Amino acid sequence: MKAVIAAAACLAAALSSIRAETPTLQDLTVVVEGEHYVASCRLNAGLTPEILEEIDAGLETTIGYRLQCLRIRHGLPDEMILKRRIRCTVRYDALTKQYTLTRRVDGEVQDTRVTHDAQAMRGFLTALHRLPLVRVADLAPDQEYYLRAKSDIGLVWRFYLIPWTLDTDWIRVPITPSGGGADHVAP
Amino acid sequence: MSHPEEPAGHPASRIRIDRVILLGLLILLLFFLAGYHLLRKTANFSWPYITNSVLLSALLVTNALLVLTLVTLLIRNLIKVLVERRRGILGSRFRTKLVFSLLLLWFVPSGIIFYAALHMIQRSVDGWFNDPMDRLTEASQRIVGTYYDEAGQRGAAFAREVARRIESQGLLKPDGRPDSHDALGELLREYHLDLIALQGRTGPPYVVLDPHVPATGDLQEVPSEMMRAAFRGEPFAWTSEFRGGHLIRCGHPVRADPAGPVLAVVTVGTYIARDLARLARAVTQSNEDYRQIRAQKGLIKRVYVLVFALITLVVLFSVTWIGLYMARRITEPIQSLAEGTREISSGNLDYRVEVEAGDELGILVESFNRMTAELKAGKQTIERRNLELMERRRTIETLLQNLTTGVVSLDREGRVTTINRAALRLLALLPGPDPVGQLFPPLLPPTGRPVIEPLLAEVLSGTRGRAAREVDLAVGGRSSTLAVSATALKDDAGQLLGVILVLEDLTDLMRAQKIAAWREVARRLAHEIKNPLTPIQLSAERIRKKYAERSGDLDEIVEQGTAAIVREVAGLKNLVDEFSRFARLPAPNPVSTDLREVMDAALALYRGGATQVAILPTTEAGLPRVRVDPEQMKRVLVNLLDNAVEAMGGHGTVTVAASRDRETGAVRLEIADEGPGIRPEDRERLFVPYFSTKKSGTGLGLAIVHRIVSDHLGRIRVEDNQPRGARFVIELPADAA
Repeated sequence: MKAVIAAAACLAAALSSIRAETPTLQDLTVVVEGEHYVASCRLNAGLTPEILEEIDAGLETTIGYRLQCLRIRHGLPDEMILKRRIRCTVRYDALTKQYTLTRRVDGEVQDTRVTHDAQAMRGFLTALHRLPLVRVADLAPDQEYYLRAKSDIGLVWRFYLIPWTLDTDWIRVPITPSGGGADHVAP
Repeated sequence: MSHPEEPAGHPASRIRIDRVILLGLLILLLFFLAGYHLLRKTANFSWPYITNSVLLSALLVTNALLVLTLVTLLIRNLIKVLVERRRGILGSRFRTKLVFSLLLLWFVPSGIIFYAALHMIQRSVDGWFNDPMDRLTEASQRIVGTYYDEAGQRGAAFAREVARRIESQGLLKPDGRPDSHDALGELLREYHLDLIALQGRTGPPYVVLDPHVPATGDLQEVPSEMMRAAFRGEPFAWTSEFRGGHLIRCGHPVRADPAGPVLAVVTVGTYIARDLARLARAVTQSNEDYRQIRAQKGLIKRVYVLVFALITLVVLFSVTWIGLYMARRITEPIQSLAEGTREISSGNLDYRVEVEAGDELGILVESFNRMTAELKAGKQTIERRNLELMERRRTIETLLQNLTTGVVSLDREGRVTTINRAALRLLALLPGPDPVGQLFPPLLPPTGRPVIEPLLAEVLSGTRGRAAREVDLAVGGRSSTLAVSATALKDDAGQLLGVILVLEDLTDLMRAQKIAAWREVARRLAHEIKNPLTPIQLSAERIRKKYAERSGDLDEIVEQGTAAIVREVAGLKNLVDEFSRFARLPAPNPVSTDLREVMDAALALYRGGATQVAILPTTEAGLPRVRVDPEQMKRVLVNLLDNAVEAMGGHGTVTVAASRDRETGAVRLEIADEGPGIRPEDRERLFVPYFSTKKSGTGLGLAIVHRIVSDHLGRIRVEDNQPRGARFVIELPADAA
């Protein structure tokens, strides 16, 4: 019995240690920019040493984001208004020391840039800035909406042999049509 | 005919399991072949392939699936074996032992090998990425990088200088276009540049290219964000592929005055020749490959571990399967034999075990089948003999039932086991309930029980092996005489099993014998009467004649004649007296008697006599007592001794011996003389009344002896004495009390 308890404790400790290294998505905000709601967020502790090593080795590395805008329906499942899948990819060329950065939104290339700056590369991978979501006019003023987001970073290993998805938890912020909840930013 | 038990459950399910296993092994083989093919194709570890981790991931997933499949199959097989053992299926214990023994034998070395292999993999993979290798790759990359960096720095310096010259010499028009192509060409040559381009805010760039640069290939545009940054006053450096080599372009803003706005961006380019660029790219590619492999180190280790685990599990599965297969090969014949045993025990001797086994089990199966065949043949023989025995028994029963002699068999308790019709008739048990199983003595008629019951008791008690009596029965107003003979039934070990009682109806025979005897008596009596009648008649006639003649000697004749008549009449009277005495012989009064006392009393009469006959009495030690009337028995002895003395003419020896018959248990009394003996033709009539071999005998002495002995349930016979003379043998039953 003691051995079982000890093993359970070890397992819990291992899981909690894995949990402690789990990246988190922070600073999710929704603001109105022109005619659109735009979202921003920041991935904390997303670039693990393993991922950085892969990037430096020239491996194409991608960090994904999922943004979903939903309308709250009491007593029913929330209605999906919008889904965005963003993939930020980096490829490092050790000869030219250039990072080629690509961002795809729902499979379409939205942004491509080349930089020598590692910090810029990190920022590109771990932050989303003013990503257009829905038109302001598309959200009914008398309804409640919210935006939720999570990030898919890659794979980790549990119990040495079991591949496990490394991702963040879902986080959410409310979207208040009529400009109450979202900040207005000048275009 | 064979019905081997399926240890793995229903045959169909086993076939299904076998198919699944076969399919799994086939898939496994295909995966191995595919993996081998991929590895062959990617022998140089092409990293564009590896970087996507397709191969590694595929291997990992494949291995994981196979490991999972094997673990499932293993656990399933082991659980099945344990369940069968728990259910007590024949052969399951052996199967469990064999499988687990093989697993144990496998587990220890394989565990050691697996552990060692894991360490070896860890060390080997770690050994691929050691510090010297890291330093080497870093140094080579740094050399290439330094070259490109310096080219870039030179390019940046030239770009700044060219921008300054353009600004100072006013080579730029207000629209940002160059004022003179020659001036840019001059700067190109002066700074040994390969490219100078001037990009205004609008329009395409103005490009001057060194004619030595290879002419093929398109010049890529500088990324727009870099160009926009340059127009904001930020220099840039950008390397791109160009005509097989690399073109390092550095941009710098050009202003009309230092504080004024950027009118254009000048870009100077340094061309890295094709060969040098290819070399640098190869160095960089190798470094990238190395670092990518290093980044995939964990994954590679895991794939190796899984491959080893897979191999180990394949061996484990093979061992388990071989164990189960071997166990099945051994236990199936055993199960078939057990089934065969059950069939044989239930009487199915046609059952044959049909299991193909070439080893000792095959010999065992063959022996079993041979034994079964022999059992069947033996059974048939026994059945045939049983039929013969039954037939013989029926014949014997028929014979027994049709015998005129009554036969009754009794068990040790005296219960009737068999009885034939003659016995039922003689004992007057017909009609009536079946006497089989009942105690025999109560079934007997009241007149027969006092005789037959002691007879049975003698034999059943083991004191005598055989005993016989004559018994007169009076049943239903009818008298009959039976000769009852009881013989002990014993097994080979001499153990008493019961008694066979033979009843012979002597009534007619006795009647015939009596008639014959009385005829003889009448004849003898007539003869004896007739003998004196003749002299009487002659005397009477002589007297009548002399009287008629008035003879002178009448008185003398009368005297002589009457004397003769009187004498003969006296003889007749004596004859009649003897006959009366024989007829009036009293009934015996038997008491338990020591025969030696009777002998002493009889022999005392002969002591001191005038004859020269010696009488020698002998008696056996431990002689049992007899139940007789001592006076009558003394008379028997005296009669026989008188006859013996008379037969020897007053000379010789008479032997009187009393002993016990070992076979019958009776007491035997023998009187032997040395006289002339008895002729064989006289022996049968010797005990008949009025039969005598003596001139002066009445012929009633031996008849009285016979009568007395018979009244005491004994027997008397006469034999030749050796070397001469006659021997009278009397057998009397010993006193059971």
